[in-house]
Amino acid sequence: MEAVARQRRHRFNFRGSLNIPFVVFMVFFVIIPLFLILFYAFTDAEGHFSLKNWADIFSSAEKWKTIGMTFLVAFATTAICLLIAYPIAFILSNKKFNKNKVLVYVFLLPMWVNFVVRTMALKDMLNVAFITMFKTQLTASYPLLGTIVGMVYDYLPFAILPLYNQMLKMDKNQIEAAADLGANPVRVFYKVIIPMTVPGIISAATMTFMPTMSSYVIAFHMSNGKLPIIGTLIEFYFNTGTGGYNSGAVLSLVMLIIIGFSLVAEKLSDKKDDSRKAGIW
Amino acid sequence: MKIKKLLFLAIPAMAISGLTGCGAKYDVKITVYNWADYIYDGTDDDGNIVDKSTVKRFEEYYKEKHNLSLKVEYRTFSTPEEMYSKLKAGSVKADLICPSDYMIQKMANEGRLEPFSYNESTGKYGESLKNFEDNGSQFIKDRFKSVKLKDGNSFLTYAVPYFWGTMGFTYDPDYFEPEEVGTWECLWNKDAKYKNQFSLKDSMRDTYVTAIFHVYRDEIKALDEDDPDYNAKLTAIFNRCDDATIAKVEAALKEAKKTTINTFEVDEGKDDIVKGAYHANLAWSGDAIYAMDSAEENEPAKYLNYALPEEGSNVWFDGWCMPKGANKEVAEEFVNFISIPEIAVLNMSYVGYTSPIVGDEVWEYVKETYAADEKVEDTYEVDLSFYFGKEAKISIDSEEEGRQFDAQYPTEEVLKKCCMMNDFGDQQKKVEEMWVRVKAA
Repeated sequence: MEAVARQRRHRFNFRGSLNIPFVVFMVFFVIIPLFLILFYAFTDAEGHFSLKNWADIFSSAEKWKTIGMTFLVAFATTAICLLIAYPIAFILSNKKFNKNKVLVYVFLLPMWVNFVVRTMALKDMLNVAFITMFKTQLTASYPLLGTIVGMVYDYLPFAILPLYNQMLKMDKNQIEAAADLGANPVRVFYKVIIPMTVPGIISAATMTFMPTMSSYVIAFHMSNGKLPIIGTLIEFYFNTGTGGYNSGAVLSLVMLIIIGFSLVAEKLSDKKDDSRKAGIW
Repeated sequence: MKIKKLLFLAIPAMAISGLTGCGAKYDVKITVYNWADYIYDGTDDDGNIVDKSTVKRFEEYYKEKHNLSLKVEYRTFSTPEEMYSKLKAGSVKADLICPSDYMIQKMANEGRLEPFSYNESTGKYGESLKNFEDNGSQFIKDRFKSVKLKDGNSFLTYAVPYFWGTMGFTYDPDYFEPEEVGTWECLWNKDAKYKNQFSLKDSMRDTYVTAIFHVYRDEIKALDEDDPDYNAKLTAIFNRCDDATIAKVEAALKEAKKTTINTFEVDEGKDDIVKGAYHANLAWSGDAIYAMDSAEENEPAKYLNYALPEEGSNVWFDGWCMPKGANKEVAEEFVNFISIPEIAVLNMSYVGYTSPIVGDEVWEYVKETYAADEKVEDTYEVDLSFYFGKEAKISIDSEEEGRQFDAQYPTEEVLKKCCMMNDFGDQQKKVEEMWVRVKAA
């Protein structure tokens, strides 16, 4: 009896059971909702199987335009974020300028404030500035520009942080060696520094690309509701449209697939480079 | 050890049941599903709780009357479309909802509503809605009665009016003259003064009709205002949604979007107009009153006005309805309670829209709030007898013309030009696609 009891005790894995809340959470808040989206995407208003939602979305030039616009905003935001974040991260990772990491916190500080508040403040500030300078409001006259500015502002820390992490791990000796061996600074930069920070760049790109693709509030406010992206379209379908859950679910899936692809692309580039460890993902 | 394992299973199970549980404490429960900020919640201007909310008052009233404890689960939505999809998807179950006219029409036609105790042939509500029968404005009842649904009943069978209002422009009189925004044509004015100066609603139904007045301006002008059927004819034009009209509206909205429209918004407009982000905001009358009030409290005070375009506009109604399967008895009791004039005054002063309840207390409240001081010499007189159903004349300070009072109580003359919206019916999908194209343009 004793032995049987011990065996049973052995079979119960205490550590493993710690997973249960996590699994329950995943099932209720990830897996079931995902199946609901799938269900709505492939059924009509009466709940019968139908591909009409997909045909409706992809036969309309405006939907393509909206998806294209979302890509444009996401790519532009990612590119600009990288361009700005790279030199900033480089400076931050230099111990000479950033002795006690205070500067890193300065760049992360805005994230402590709710992003809607930040976006609204940015909008009002830019509009006042634009009126005094150009006699027109940025967000009303140039909704696309306004949206990109808003996105870059909000997601810049997401680009800085992975780059900064990666650059801290850079082997400074290699840079010095390259310089000693006669490479000019430009050559050092693209032959040594860039290759060493590729994982950080990829990480930063995905970290900005994914949220911009699915963003909704920033685009809505920074374009005065004039620039449609996938997020605003999904909102419209879920809240207004007849049979809106179905069309909205199709668009949600499209967004999911795009984000999924960007993750796969990141993983693929990951395999080529084993040294990569600094990415957040 | 087994117990431990069970415990781990039990924790999430308890957490889940905790979300749905605790139902046994009350004898009766009903769910009221209403617009956000649409009922007196017992707070003052600064958001401090200073009084009992309408819902709380009803719970106490019910307890006293039936000696049963009642819990009103109060939920809110931001557009009737949102409410409709949630009810349809079953994520909300409600006993009482408060949609707008076109949504009432749609839901009634789809057979989603329970009838109130209303007798279509005598035109009277039963004993359970006595307060509305006695205190409701005859003018509003007639308007509701004139809308016939597919099953031959009128609106009054399925809805009891709660608030109503108009749609017009809240504008800054320092920037625009009253005549300039006194016509829908201002949205298509090419003058540089108008560029980016307007906000429209990010709501398909409301923005659609602004363009109707532009598209059919000549036809509307040609109508004879003295014709007794004037309102009916105007309403017919107002609700056109055939394919040709949709195409014209689309072109008009796209044009306006490029020139005069600054923003599509639903909620921020009433604050943005005060901040001066633009100088004319397409607004529902209650939001206009809110904006005018808050602009006055600004330092330095700013004075905004409200204008209804001369071509006509929309008059909308929100009414209480009971979805199928509702607890009819308690729901009717709630509607009856809310139609008591004292309660109507509380809600009206908090919400800012116009209540269809016209008991003596309401008239006293209106006079107290708006009547000009005796010392003021320059006044104008407004006759609201048509609305209050009794001698009801009030003199208003001329400086207040085109402001809160006019927004809250339009005259009969103005209301003749205001039309009720119909549901788009089978054209709904086409209008939606049009709206998506306008937004993407």
